[in-house]
Amino acid sequence: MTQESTMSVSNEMVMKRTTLVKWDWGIIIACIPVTMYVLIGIFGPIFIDFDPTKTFTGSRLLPPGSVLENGKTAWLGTDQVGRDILSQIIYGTRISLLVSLATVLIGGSVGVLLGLISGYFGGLVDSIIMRIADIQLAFPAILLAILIAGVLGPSITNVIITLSITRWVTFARVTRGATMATKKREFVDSARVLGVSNLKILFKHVFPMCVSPLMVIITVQIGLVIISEASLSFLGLGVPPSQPSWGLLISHGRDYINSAWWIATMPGIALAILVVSVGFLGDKLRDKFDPSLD
Amino acid sequence: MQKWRFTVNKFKLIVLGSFLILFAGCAGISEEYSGGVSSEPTDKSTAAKSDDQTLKVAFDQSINSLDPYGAHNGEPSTVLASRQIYDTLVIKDGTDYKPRLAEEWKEKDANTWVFKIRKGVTFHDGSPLTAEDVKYSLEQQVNSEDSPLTVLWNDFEAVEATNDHTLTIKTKKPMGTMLSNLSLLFITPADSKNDDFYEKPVGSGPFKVESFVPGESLILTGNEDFWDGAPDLTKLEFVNIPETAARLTALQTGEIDVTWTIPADQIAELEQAEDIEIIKTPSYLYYFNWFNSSREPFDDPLVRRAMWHAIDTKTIVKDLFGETGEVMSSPIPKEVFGSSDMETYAYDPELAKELLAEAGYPDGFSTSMMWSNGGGPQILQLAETMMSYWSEIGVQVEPIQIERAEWIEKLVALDWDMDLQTNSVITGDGDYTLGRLYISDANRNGYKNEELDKLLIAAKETTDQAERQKLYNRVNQIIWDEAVGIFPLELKQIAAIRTHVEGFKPSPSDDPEFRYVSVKK
Repeated sequence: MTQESTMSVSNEMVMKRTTLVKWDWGIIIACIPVTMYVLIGIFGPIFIDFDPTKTFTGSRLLPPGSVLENGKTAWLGTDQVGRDILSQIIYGTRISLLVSLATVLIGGSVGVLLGLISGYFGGLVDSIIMRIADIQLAFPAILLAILIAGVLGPSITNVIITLSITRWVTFARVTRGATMATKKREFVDSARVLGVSNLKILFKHVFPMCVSPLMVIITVQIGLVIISEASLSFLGLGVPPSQPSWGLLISHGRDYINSAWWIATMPGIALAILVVSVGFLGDKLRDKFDPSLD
Repeated sequence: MQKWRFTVNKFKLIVLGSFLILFAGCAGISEEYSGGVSSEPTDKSTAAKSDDQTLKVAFDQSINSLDPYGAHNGEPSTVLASRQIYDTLVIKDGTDYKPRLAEEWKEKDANTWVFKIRKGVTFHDGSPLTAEDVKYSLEQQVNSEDSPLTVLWNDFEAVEATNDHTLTIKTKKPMGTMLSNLSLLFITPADSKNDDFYEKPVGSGPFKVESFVPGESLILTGNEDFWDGAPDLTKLEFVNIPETAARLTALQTGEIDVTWTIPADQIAELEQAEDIEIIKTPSYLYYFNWFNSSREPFDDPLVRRAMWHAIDTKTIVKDLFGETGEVMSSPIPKEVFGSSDMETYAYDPELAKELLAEAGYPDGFSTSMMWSNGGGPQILQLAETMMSYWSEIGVQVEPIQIERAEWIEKLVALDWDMDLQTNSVITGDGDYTLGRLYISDANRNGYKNEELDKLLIAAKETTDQAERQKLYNRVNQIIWDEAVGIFPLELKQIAAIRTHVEGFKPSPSDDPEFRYVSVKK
């Protein structure tokens, strides 16, 4: 009960704030690194001449800044078969972002839909959906992901499917909370009295009220998904070995940590910076839109 | 205000975090440059050894069983332990066999072998070793259902202890591999039937078992009464250190004295240490990339040859494996009996394209290559490099890296296009690999050739070793010219010992004899 009342209060606050157009520098600063990663992910592979399946055994394990046989400079060094680490990180950015966005989109849509149904209709439907969610939450997400990925086999599509399955629960629970708070509001009652169909009420009146808490959840989940993808690839269950994923790069560089530290360290730094920036952005969004969530 | 301070704190935390990551990176740099200093000799453990002769050994596998006729007896670790604890009738020496428990032997006729068993040999418990014990041991091996070596004895008929020191073995067909098989037959006492015997077994070898924890450690003591002179070592310990990095550190700090199987990229670091010596010897381990000759397009020898010509084997071996690999000149490693010296396929992408065009694939084709996780040293790098070369002639290869269990299942079911793996000729005799894997009935890679079958059977049933070598030369030529697979490299065994260890001689099959080893005082 108390959660529902604070939720409605917070929603009112959100409405009040968004009407006042005010720059929030914290959010803008937090957006800069994230935007850079997105731009690199989209345009980077177009501008660099790199084929991840090509190997150059003559220039393997070169330290950062070395000049290669073809006259190019490997700013972040080369890996165990002579491929440029920087180019692989740029390609890996695309994979990380693709997997995280697709997962949030698919897992998020399913979660939001189930959350809306569960929160709005209540009763048996609600009990069934939420008990399934509880069961899944009781099970460690990464173990579940390893299980599913192990059965499906390594490919980008399978990673997205796997992570979507493990991520829908959070979306469903947040949406359900917001829906339950909204459905008791006067405007929803009025719409119902006027004879508006359930479907229309759900998507036209209830869903918009869920958007701001969802924004926060989305940013948090993107960070978690990027890490999950890297973990799965590290374990050899994520993307296939022909794709330069960060997790895979770290995994392959592990054997060379004494002699060629840059193979595992460089993608590790790229991964850490992206996840920290996304998390920071999520924190700022939460502070702004929904201080009651934690 | 409260809220602003909160976020400033968070920001600090992030900045701090990024510095931590950077420091971690820098720590990597400094570690690399101080590598030579950290491997300073620590003589603590060697000083303690001045009056007793103790040697500690760790290698890349664990010793899981001491049963020389069980499911593990194909594993190098079990063979290694057996070599110290038990003894064999003969032992391989180069391409020839030297007497051990058998003083001499003769072939009475094509199907009958008579061995004269050495007198005065005793087991660790003091009981004498007789022909009855040998008979028992051979029967255990022949009747073992779990052992991967049982197939070697398919042509075995009967064994008989004529008297205490004479043994007669009868075969169904002439067996050219008799001596090589006997070099892997370890002799146990005839009454070793009870189940817990192999927890602390008794043999007649140079070392006695003091304690054994499967997968962890094996502690042996020198056998004073060994028939060929007591070993110098009083104590020999095998410990299991699974991580390569930890194992090499243990060698540098003096925790262990001997280790083997060292990755190519780690040799340079060890060579810098003054008190460590690196020994490189040929081994029975090699890589092959089989083509599935029962599937298009690899049913055409032109395509298979084109694939081989597309690969610069010499450069790959030099760049990736350095001193740990050597380009092959035969479908089995040089050290194995039955290998030949043939010319390797030249790197010629233009010729490869011509061959593909001739076979009807002027624009190349798409196929796949499978290998198992951890299927060999640097297997992923080798696979990636080969695929990179093939893409130059328009052959696109999909990589399939799978777990070992799934890989074995697919391999046996012939459900693959190309298969990359390592293979070991554990008996050191070409029949173990050539006769077992390339005969049409085995159907391991879809290649069928009647002429090859005839040669393989003839080589197996000939007891004249020179004649066998001639037959295997023809076998090798066929496999090579028909390009049943690509045979890129054989691996060298790289052992590292601390310099106070004397007399250590690595073995190509990873089962060195420690009876000749001593520790310098």
